[in-house]
Amino acid sequence: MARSSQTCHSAEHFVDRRAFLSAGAAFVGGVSALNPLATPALAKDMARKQKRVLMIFLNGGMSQFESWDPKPGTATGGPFQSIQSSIPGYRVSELMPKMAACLHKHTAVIRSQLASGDHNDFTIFGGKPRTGPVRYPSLGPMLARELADPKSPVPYHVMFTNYLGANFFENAGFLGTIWDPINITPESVPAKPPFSVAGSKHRLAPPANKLPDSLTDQDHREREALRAELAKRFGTGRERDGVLLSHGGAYGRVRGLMESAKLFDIEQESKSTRDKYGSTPFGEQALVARRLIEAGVPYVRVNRGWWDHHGQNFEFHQEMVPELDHILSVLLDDLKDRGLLDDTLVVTFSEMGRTPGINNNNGRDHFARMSVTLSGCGVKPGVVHGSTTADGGNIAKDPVSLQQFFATVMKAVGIDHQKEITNSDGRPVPLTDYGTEPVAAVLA
Amino acid sequence: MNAQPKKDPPPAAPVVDVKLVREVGVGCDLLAVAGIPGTAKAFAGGTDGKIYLIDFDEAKPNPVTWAAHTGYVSGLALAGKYLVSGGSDHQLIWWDAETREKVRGLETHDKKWVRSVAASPDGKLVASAGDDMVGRLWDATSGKLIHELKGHDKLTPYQLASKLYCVRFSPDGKHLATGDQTGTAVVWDAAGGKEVGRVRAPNLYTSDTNGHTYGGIRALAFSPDGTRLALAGNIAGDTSTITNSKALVQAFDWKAGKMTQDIPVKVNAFFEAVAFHPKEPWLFAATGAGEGKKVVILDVEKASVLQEITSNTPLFDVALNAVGDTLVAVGRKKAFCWRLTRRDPQ
Repeated sequence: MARSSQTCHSAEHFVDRRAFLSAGAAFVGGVSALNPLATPALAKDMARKQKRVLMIFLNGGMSQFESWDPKPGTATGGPFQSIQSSIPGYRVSELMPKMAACLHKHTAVIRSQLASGDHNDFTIFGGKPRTGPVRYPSLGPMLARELADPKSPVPYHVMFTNYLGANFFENAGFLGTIWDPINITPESVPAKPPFSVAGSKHRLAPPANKLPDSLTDQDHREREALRAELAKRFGTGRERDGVLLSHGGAYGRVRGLMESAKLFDIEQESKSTRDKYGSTPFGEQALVARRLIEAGVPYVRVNRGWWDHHGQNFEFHQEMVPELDHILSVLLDDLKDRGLLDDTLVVTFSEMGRTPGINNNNGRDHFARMSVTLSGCGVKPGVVHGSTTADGGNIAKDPVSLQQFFATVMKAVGIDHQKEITNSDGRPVPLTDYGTEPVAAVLA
Repeated sequence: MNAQPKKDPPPAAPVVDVKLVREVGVGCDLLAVAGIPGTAKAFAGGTDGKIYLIDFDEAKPNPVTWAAHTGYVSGLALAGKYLVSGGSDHQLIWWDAETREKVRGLETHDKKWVRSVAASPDGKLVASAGDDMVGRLWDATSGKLIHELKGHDKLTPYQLASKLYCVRFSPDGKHLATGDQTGTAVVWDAAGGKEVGRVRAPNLYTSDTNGHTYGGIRALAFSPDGTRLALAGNIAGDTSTITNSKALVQAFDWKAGKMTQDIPVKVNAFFEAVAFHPKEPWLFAATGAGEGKKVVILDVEKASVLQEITSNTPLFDVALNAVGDTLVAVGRKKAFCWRLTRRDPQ
């Protein structure tokens, strides 16, 4: 079984992680020293070495017709026009003018992505069964595990939801809960006027980044010392037990999170940067995501929902696609300007696609074909892979399975997609199915 | 004592006898209609980019069509000898209504969707509404831009792009009104292009159970005396599937800025088009996207449903002729013409 020294995730490394956190906190009081953004040299060092993935997940399923694969002038095309992108011969929806102008710089588009056509966690689990004795992990925990630096004080895996998304969470399965995301769920948007984004307090930071008032920092550390002592003998001979490792690492995660609190604070950014991202929940979450990536969080997922437009598809997409267009283009520019894009893969991935047919509610229904994009690290920019038929009813060329897509993402960030990992029964399981080939055409 | 459950009011006696003149099938959805005065003909705009000329007096109508836009044809108005069409291709196009030849085409509204087109009653002015959130007033003959009507917010309160769905003139032609996604309608002085009134429909823009934050004034109409403004759309329930929602009309004394009638209708659909009867306080409201498939006749004064005309297909626009005895409606792959005969009051 292949294992790299950097990503073996042995129990020893988790001990190192705790020791590092403990020492850091003891010597310098924690926060500033464990905030990599406050230490430019450390941030630059991370930028050079560590690969990261920033996933923009489109909950509910964005329409490929109103975004990356428009079919104007056809019965299924909808009202919107297409515009020429910066990739010769490739047109995108008029709702995406900003990405249209910069696609050639960093981005590859896959128009022939196969997906699930239903809301059942299928897509982000790559088609693996969600029931049965073996609980397979979703994409995020696998990436987090392979990319994480065990000595890093920052979280391994952070996920923002936006209005909705509870049904579409990542799950680490047999990898152990240490690779599960720290979920940051906003308060609901106001249901009645007056509407105020500023007043809606969409949450940008996890609630657990502060101790409750009833618990002092010393209490917290003493409790962990007691827990570790009691767990020590119990853990003997169980070093590969994912659940046990996760449990043991929880303290370190919490301490790391508390001491990373500033990473979640967009007030640390200049006003001009905040203005670029905008004041929508999605924009502010994307900005925090960039901060987390910059600080070395290996996998960050920002969910933008809700795209499941069985009714009023065009009205919703006219509102939401330009927001995605804006934020994605700003994010790529920002990552590039900070020297991070060469080591950060930005993915836009949809839960599913939308049907060519337009129903009586002026909606589009679920469809198991969609378009996705890859930008930055390991990507050959300016490539448009695959195509669909004239009415968008099927894949015309180069279909890409979910497993292939996962393999492509992994390959882009330097992960061996055929690497075997061990499940809780000790059985080797490859990251992607045996024989899966990444999409070479979109890889640098 | 337990509260008695609310009972629906008994159905009102029909106010008109309705006779279907013709039902015409076409190959696409029809989004806009403009009747030709004094005839049983109408122009209709299609999602296929074509304009359809339909003669409902023909036993088997075979519409004359021509390619007009490269997107949806979403607005149509007859202004004197000109037919003016607006589309999702950002174009506003003048046609000779007789010969159907193109007179001029303008790329306008900042390259955004031209949602709605209206003509003043005397045919001298044309108004357009588009998703740049600006209404525009044009000289119908020369095509010259007379006024830009700026007063709608470009962004919704959620900082997302808003939409300007509709524009209509008052019956005397002195005013026109525009309605946007957030439920705001602005009344303008047609001569000077100045804002003279503004109302906010409290329930036409809200947040649904899935966090969708949209809605909008999908259609509007001035009452025959010009004092009331009826705004139409939907109370969001779950707007992604348009279930558990109600079609809604809210009427305003627009000079006072005060809502006078709130008329929710129990149908899971949007009211996509409205037209007042020229003499009665009756509003003909067409249910589009959703489960409606009918024209609902509302008594705006009494805030009640008078009658329904079934179409069995979603409808996207309606037009009544000048005397109120012919109703044309267009929708999902169909166009309808009904003759209306007023019933004597009991």
